[in-house]
Amino acid sequence: MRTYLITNLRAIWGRAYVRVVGANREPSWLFFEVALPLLASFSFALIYRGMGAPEQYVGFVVVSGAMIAFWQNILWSMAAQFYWEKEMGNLELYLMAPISRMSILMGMAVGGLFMTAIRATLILLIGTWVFGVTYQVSSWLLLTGVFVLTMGAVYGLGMLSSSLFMLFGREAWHTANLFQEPVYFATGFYFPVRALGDLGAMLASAIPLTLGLDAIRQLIFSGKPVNPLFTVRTEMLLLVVATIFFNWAALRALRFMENLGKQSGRLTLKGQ
Amino acid sequence: MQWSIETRNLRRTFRDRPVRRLFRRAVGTPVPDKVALDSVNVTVRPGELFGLLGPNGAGKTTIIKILSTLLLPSAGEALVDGIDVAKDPDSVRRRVNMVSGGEHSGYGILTVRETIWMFSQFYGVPTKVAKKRADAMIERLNLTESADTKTSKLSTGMRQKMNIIRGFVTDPKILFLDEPTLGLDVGIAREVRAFVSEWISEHPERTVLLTTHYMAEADSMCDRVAIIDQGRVLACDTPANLKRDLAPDCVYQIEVPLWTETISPLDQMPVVRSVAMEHRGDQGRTHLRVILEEEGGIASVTDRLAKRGARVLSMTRLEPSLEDAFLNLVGHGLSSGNGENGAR
Amino acid sequence: MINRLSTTYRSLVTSGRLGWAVESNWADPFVFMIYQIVRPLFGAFILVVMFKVVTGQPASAPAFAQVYVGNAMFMLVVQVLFGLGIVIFEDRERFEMLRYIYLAPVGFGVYLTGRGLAKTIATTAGVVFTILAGWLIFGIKYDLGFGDIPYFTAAMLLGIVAILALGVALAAVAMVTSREGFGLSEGVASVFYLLSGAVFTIDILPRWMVSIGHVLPFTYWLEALRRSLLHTPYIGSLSHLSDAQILLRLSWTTAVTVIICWALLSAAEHYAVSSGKLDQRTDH
Repeated sequence: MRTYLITNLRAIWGRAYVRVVGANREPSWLFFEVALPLLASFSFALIYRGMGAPEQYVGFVVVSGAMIAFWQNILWSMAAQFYWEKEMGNLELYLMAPISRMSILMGMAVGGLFMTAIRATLILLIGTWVFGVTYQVSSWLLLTGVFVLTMGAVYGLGMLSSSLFMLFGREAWHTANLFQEPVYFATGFYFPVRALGDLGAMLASAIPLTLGLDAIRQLIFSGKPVNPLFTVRTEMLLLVVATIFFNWAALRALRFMENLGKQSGRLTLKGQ
Repeated sequence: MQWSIETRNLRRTFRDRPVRRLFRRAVGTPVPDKVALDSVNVTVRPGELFGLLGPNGAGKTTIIKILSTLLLPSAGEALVDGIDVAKDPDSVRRRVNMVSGGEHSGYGILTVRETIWMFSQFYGVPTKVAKKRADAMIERLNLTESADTKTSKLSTGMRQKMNIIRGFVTDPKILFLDEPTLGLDVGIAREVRAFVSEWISEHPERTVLLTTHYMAEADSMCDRVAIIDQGRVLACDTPANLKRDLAPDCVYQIEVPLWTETISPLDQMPVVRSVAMEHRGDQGRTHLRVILEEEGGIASVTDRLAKRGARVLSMTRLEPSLEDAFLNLVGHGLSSGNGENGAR
Repeated sequence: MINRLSTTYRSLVTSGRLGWAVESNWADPFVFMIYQIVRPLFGAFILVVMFKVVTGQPASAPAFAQVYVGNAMFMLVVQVLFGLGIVIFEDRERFEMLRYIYLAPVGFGVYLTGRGLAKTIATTAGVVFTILAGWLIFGIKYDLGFGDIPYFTAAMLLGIVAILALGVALAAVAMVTSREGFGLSEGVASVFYLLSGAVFTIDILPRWMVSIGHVLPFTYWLEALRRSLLHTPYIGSLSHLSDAQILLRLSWTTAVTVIICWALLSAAEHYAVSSGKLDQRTDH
């Protein structure tokens, strides 16, 4: 058991190393990874300005810009990455190694987190500076807790999706694309999720980002009307449940899909 | 005896995706399942360098994929170190590694050393040990100058040397080498073969399963060889025994001017067991490799050629080779010929 | 000369077909259309909700129609530019055929234009659907008469020329950068989204940004399309220009864009060959 744990920890570090080294050797990512989401945030902030919206809405957009960085990292650099790995010929080497598939995904996540954290911080700082957003944090402790739980749940969801991508052929690209705007819409990246109506917001809260964003907004724009979905404590509780559920489901789904792929022969079939 | 590798009536079929299969059935054009392996029975002893020899599409890679837990059998059993690959793949994975020919694994941004280290981490090899082993192998395979080069800058040969080290650095109990010298030049292919042979002689308790369609590679490297074609194992023995099955004085090479006919006029002769034909367009000649049922049949073969208008330019009696054994069993040769990339 | 034109035409058609095949994933056309439609539609939904949250007005309000049309049309810019960036990455590192395309006697620009055309056609379906959804779902009132069709068509075609030229040039730049380079196309598209008034009038931007907006073809393209579909000018600082003047400005800004992009393509091609970037692998 101990050996298995150590092997998996080594695997996480091994896979994360590629991302960390990649970030150092190809610094151009910083420009693309920061500038692009920043521009998107600027656009949405300016739309609100154009519409004469209250200032906290511009703040929503800036905070969401930072959170989108994490979602995109999960979507493109973790979930869909399994598809790329298959095409490159790495997936079969990962799958025949004596480790959990979660370790490979964790490695990708940890390695990507380094870049994504820089990206998110820069977006937050630049966006705040350009638009003069002011925050009023009611509790740093709760804010940290909400953020960690949101990441736990969202990365769990990412791992769950990666099980699908493991078997995907060329449709992977479209599928990853499909998880962008619809998710931005459903999770209320650019507006309070309550605007979708009570039922819509409840359904949207199945995506942990919805709860995380809502709680973060309540905590950093305290005193301003943010039209929350639930109280922060309820949302934290739901995030705990989501973290456990998505990680458990990911473990099961990865095993199931791997088995399915081994039965059909699609697991190592490239260029489908 | 505990076999290193054992397959029992191993069968693997591939079918269309369910939706496409239903559609084809509905429109009356059902496609039958493709049989990749059919009742394959192979046993490999610990310490053996065992070869699977067959043409492209014979089922060699399918066997490797099943043994390395990447594919499930449709029927039958596959055991690695006595463990069923379908029932306990995790235990199998701790014992094996695999290297394929022409693989592009890894990430272009990492150096050779980093790539080898990264893959070693997936097997839990401590960094110090991995680096020490990797350095020794890098030196042995003359890769030192490229060791700190990004893998995106490597030539095909250098890349394959790195892949070989990637497979060996985890010190696997059983190693699968799937056409490891595919596409390599003579010199590098020789280095790779020498490395594999030395490794197995230094680690007599380890096992290597090598697939190849290079006759000479199988002949020179393997303790035993299974000849496989169209998913079936046709024979399994030492190269020497496989060759011995052919009577002496029964293998001839006949050189004729470029012959555009099919081999059927010869193939159908009762004295002929099998024929392979190789055109040498640049020389305007055709080489026929003929295996006879019995000594003395060669006269009727040259007669038949003469009647077909093919003048015999030269005729040589050959010592039976593994290719002849293959030809004898399969009924056709391997298109890429023998002695490929300097195997002898 | 005729022979060369014929080869160019054949290459254009072949690369267009190839682009279509790759874009559509050799998939069921119905499934593909869903993929093409869902994303832009949800992009529109986001705007609708934002507008409603802030103004309390329904999406059918005239002020929102301008935003909606601009956003829907701008999808062409985003998708074609981004799509062509991906083409380079895929052809270079996944299909490993970029070098062979480069070796072929037909120009690299022709190949990329063909691929861009396929992307344009595929995206147009999404644009049309989004515009129709605006009318059917959100009650946006369009006012496109028969008399407006020549103007609309001319503006549309000029816009597509500018989009393709820019897409080809940025794809060529992506050729000499690493995997992230295809993000450059997306980045440039985002800059144009900001500066050409896709979803808000550029007049709210700082003066220097407005000046840049005034030399971009997409500013006039969107303005022309809005005027033909909705019959009201959107950008205040362009309201003094007649419809014909808008089209004229679109024409010359497009011409300048094509020339600049052509130069960029040539420079990137030269650099790619001289620095051996045609078959680099940067995926990690």
